[in-house]
Amino acid sequence: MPSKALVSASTRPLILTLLRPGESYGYEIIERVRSLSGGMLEWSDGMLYPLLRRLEADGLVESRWVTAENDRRRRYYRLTRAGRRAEEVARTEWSQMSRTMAAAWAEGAE
Amino acid sequence: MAWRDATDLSTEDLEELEQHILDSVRAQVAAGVPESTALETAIAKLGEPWAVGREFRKVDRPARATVGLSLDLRLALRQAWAHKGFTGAATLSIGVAIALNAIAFSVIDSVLLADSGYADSRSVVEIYTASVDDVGRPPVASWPIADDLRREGSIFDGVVGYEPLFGRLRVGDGQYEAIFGEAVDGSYFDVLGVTLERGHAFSGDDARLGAAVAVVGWERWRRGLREGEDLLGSTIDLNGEAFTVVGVAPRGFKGAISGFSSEIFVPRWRLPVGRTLAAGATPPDQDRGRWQAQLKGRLRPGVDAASAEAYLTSRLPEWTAQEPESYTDVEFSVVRSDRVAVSPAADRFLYSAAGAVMLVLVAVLLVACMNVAGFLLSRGADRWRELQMRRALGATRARLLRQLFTESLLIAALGAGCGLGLCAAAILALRRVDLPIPLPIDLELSLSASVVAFTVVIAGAAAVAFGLVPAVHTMKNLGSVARGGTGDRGGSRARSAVISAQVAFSVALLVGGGLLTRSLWVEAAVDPGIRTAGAGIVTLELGSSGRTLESLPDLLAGVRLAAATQPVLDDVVFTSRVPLGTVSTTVRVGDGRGDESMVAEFAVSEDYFSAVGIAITEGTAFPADMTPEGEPVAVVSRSLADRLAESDIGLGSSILVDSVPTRIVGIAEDVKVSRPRERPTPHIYRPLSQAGAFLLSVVGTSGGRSVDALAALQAAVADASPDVVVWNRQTIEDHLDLKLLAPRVAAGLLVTAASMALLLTLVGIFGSVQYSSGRRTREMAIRLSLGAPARLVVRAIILPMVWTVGSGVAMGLGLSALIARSLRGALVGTSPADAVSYSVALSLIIGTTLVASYLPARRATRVELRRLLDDS
Repeated sequence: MPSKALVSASTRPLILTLLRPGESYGYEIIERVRSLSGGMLEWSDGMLYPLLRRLEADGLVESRWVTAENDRRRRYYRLTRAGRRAEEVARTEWSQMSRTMAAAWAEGAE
Repeated sequence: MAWRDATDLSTEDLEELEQHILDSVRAQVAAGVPESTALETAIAKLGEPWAVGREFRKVDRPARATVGLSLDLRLALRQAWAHKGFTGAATLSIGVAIALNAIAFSVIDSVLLADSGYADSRSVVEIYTASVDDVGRPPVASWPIADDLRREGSIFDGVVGYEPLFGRLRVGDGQYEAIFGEAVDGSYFDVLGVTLERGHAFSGDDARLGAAVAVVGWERWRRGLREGEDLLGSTIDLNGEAFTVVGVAPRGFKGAISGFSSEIFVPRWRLPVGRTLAAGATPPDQDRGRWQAQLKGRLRPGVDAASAEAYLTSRLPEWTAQEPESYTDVEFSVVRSDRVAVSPAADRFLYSAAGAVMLVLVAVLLVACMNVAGFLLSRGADRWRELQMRRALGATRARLLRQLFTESLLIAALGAGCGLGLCAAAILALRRVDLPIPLPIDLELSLSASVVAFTVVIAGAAAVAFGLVPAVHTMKNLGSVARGGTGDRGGSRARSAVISAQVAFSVALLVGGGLLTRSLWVEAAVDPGIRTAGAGIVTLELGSSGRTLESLPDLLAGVRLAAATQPVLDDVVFTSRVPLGTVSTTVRVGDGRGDESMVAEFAVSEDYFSAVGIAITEGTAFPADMTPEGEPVAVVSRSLADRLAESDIGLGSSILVDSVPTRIVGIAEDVKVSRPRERPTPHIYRPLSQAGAFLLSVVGTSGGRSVDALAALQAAVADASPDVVVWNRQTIEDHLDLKLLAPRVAAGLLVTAASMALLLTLVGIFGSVQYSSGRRTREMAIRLSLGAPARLVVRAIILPMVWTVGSGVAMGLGLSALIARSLRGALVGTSPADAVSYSVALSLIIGTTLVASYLPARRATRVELRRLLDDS
């Protein structure tokens, strides 16, 4: 199970990355994270929504309401232009970090 | 710890979290997790509420918190929109019931609660010359009594007299209109505190000069006589006399005669308007023997009505000694004007009638509330998941209760809006109804502020009535759901109680409506003693055209001559009053030995009896050549003849009619004089040429339709006497119907209320059975697939409803007995225990409730188990 600090640091880039292909909603995002991490990343569901709201306040995502079955509404999120740029930056940073870590592990193993 | 305050989240946050939980529950249930466990898990996975709440608050969004009533209202609006069918049905149920109440209240507001328009109206009093409990004696006075009381400066700041004035206003060349007004004291407007809209009231100079001046009502002034002509300052022709219009009464002021709308006010010194006094005769406003005035006074500051009455009573012996003609048998009563709508005696009847009407309509509203309460109870059982979620999200019980009650308030508000709309439409329709009453009744219906306030109050009361119990019940059930219950603990019992009560009310209203309808039929079938078809009646007001007894034969001959040119008319006859009419004239009849009594008097032409179908059983009708100077003769009714026979007076004998010896020339069959339900009432017929008439009814008979007879008669009257004001015109059928107006309105009202209550009850039963069968669909489908006969399944569904309806019927019978007892006085020829009314009511309620139960139950048996399993 990753440390709390690592989970916390990865949350924003992860959400931005999951929203890159297209819009999604809270429950779907959480389930996707759970699935991708093989159950290793277990967010507290309630925490996702304040975070989405923070991203929205920062202008990285935008939301819209869509009426679902039984006249209930569901809120969908998608990246803004700034969000796409932030996602690209995060991707670059995390890739570099990942490559660096991989290289260090390879060197240590030799 | 639950979320400290779920209302701290915006509606949208809350909605999003709810949707999240629903998604989670759905996914778990699909994986085989029981629903209640899935819900608990979903809520637990949201995390610690305080921590999530803190994270939300960290986000800088100042408009985040949408708390309090606006949130409740938004949620209620969403609920209403999401369940449009329920909202529509509930709104309509409540709306129609509220509309009925609002319409009735607007009539009451107009008749009983209308503003007099007097300044400081609390100090204006009615001064009656008879006890308010003495219904048999009109509390009128002579004008000199007003002058006597005006001198009592320690009690009154002012006293005014006024009397009704039936006038004929010339509106064009040879064109006249009937006009109702008042002859009034010179200080009338000052004492009542009425400031004229334009011009001025009567002055001291006018009084000294006996000036022919008049004040017109606002509405008459607005309409004018001719296009573009201002009535103020102009000269008008009233009863053939020229009056100068010096003032215009303010808008809304209807005069001092309660219940009527006066359009013109002339000073008392012009009485009798349009007629010349005989030389040496006492002017009407100085005549102590002429009792036609009514009195109002303005109390001095610090004096109340009771002390004024006590003072006047204490002075009576002295005044009686001085002016016996004025004060013998007088008993003063002083009542505040703002506590009198029409008259104390009439008010007693009107208030009790209004109370009865409101009671019936409130019962209909209660039935509608019960209906909506039943719907809410059913829906509450289906909302446990949503409410449980909100509860888990930290909403307190009080908060949820408030939310549920806000939803009820919204329905009540929509119902009130719908009710006011229906009420406004009804008022518009009622305004167009021409009241079949030949008097200017002041019934200005409007959607006034008080009607709107009343509607808001009853809508609020309705919200409490139909919303509170289901809300509390639903909240109670939340606990049982958490423990694995169905969410409907005790719900079916509550719904059954509601339906039983609805059935009970419906039975009682149906029985009441049935009794009044039966009574109406009996009353309508009563033989009035005169022909009931093929006749028209035109009533002329003779006083304002200055017709005297001497000139009457010319008028009759003129009308007869004109009628002869109308082939539709067979006969034209004349009478001072028509049986079962609104006009009431009486004379004192004595046997010459001291035994006297007042009996109804008909002054008729000699051919009246044969034309209207009254048989002369003994003797003859009057000769055709009767003159005022000839021997006074009379025809008496059978009931009067029987009474006179006790004094050995018979055909050919002489009686005293208003102290004048009069010979009985004939005995006629009794007719119904005033009311269809009356016992034989002694009455007397005198020749028109000897008795005279103030109002003259011309009856035109025909072998054809009454409307044709009436049209021909109107043409003949207009041709023969264009200057005589036509007071009223109607067919004989309309005339006879008028006396059935009150029982017809009462029966119609109760039948309408009963129909509404029954309809609402049926909807409630249908909905309840549909709901309960819906909850048991799976069970029913399994039973049917195992071979249970459909009829047994139907029976299992509707049996509880049969018991519910049965208990409602039993309660309703008890309630009916109470209603029937209270209606006893209004029933004609119908027993309060009338078996037919009870049978019809019970058959109707049992038959229709069985159908309303059977239909949804039958539908439930048509569900196929396979489809049910596929759907699940």
